Amino acid sequence: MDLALFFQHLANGISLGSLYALIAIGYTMVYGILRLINFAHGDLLMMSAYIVFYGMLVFALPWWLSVVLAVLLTAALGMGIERAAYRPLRDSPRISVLISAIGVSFFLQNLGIVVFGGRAKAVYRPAWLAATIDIGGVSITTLALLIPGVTLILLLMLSHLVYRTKTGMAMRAVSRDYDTARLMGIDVDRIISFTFVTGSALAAVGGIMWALRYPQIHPMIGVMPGLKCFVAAVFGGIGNIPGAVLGGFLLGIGEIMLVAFIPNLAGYRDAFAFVILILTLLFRPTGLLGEKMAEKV
Amino acid sequence: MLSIADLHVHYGGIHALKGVSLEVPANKIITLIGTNGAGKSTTLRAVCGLVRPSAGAINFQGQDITRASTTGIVQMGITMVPEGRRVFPDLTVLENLYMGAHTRNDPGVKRDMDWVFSLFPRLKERKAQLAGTLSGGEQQMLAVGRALMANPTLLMMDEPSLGLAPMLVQEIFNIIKQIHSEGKTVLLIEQNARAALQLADYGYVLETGRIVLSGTGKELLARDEVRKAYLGEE
Ligand SMILES: Nc1ncnc2c1ncn2[C@@H]1O[C@H](COP(=O)(O)OP(=O)(O)O)[C@@H](O)[C@H]1O
Ligand SMILES: [Mg+2]
Repeated sequence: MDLALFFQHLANGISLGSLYALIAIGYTMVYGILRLINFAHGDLLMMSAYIVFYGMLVFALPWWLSVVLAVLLTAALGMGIERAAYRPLRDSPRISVLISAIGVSFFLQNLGIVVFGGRAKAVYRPAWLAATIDIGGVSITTLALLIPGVTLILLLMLSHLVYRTKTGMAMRAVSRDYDTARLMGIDVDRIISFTFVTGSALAAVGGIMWALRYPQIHPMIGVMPGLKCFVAAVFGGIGNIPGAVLGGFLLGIGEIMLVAFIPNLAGYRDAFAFVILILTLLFRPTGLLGEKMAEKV
Repeated sequence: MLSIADLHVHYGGIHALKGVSLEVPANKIITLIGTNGAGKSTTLRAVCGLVRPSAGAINFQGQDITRASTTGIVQMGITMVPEGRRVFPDLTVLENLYMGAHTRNDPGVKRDMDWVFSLFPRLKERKAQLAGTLSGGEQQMLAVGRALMANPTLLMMDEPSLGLAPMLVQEIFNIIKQIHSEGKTVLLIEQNARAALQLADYGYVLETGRIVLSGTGKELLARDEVRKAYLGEE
């Protein structure tokens, strides 16, 4: 195995990993604030991809406008899901909310089948995205560079939001202790809504880039990435944002390397994530960066 | 300033407050004492809007706040130092203090920060440290400082001396005196009944959800029932 080929795979892994990271953040943020695994999260990326598809092909909107619309509408959808399906159950046992989340996920998938049709649609991918660039013997597509680039910008924005703004501080306070956050005058419901908006917007961007990377969309495309990013979030330490990013990158790189270096196992590619999940739960249930399970008071 | 009338609170089937009435006049220190489970914390939580009363009324500066949101209540000038400190452990000391000023956007924030740092120089030394790494006493000071950052007119404190070493208990009581002398009204819950009654202008004794006695601090200290039940005298 020569070095150039290794870097080729690494670049590919980083590109996949950044998608996982973007999507995993949504799981971890929602878990942090509601102690809920939002199983509908993966389906948001499907919705976002379809919105861009329909925006461009059916309504003939320019690509950038379709992307903006997809991000806004998906964020609104994420917020709406919390309002309609999770908030009324805020004081119910956690299992009820979890079941509600699974219900929303099935609802979105079936809505997709009814509205968009069950057959896969080919995504138009501009030629410049597929063009390859040669960097020291490693040839990389523009897309494989674009994805980590966009991810990096979004991560910097997110980290500014969470660690440098008043709203971010309120998000961190709410994820610790609702009542004390309320005593500070924080409107807890508003912060929860905002958390869903943020996580969903990231998933929307992730969904669009996913559709460019695997240019075929159907109502189930959110399922596998959704599950894998859930694993990435648990692997990194659920509730911990840097953990989700780390988990996403490691999972993406690991998956690509597995396929590249042990081709015999290529068929088990999707199983890789779940092996990681089981190992995490067995040996380090708090994940790589998770602290000891903080008791929710 | 604060007036509670015939307040009832239920937790599911538990009738925690059974008609509590009390008055907190402006610029006074009022204390509420009582054994564990009497309903002291519940009373304060009801004032803050964290639990909803099933009956009764709470008035603050002439306005009915019985059903107001906690955010609204904080903005009107009531804050609470909750039982058990409840600082945000993974926020820094400075961030915790800014959390206290969450609803504010006035130039007074800076001045109040300076005031809090002058009351608690330790907090200034440790402002960049995560609150979870502070000692118990420091966390209590942070919880008090955080509440002051809201610039309250009424400061409610739920057992601020709980679990502190005797020297720190004394320090907390001195701080309460200082805060009061800066023009704040204080409603204080204490296990340490003697110190609380010595400090307070007026006190109420709560037993299983009812006010059973009230009087000036001096009067209550002299009552046999109080001496037996709360001061451990025979
Ligand atoms: N969240 C709750 N759920 C159910 N019962 C509660 C809750 N909080 C307090 N109680 C009950 O209400 C009563 C008063 O409690 P509390 O106000 O905490 O008393 P205190 O602060 O005087 O120790 C107690 O009987 C307690 O068990
Ligand atoms: Mg109490």
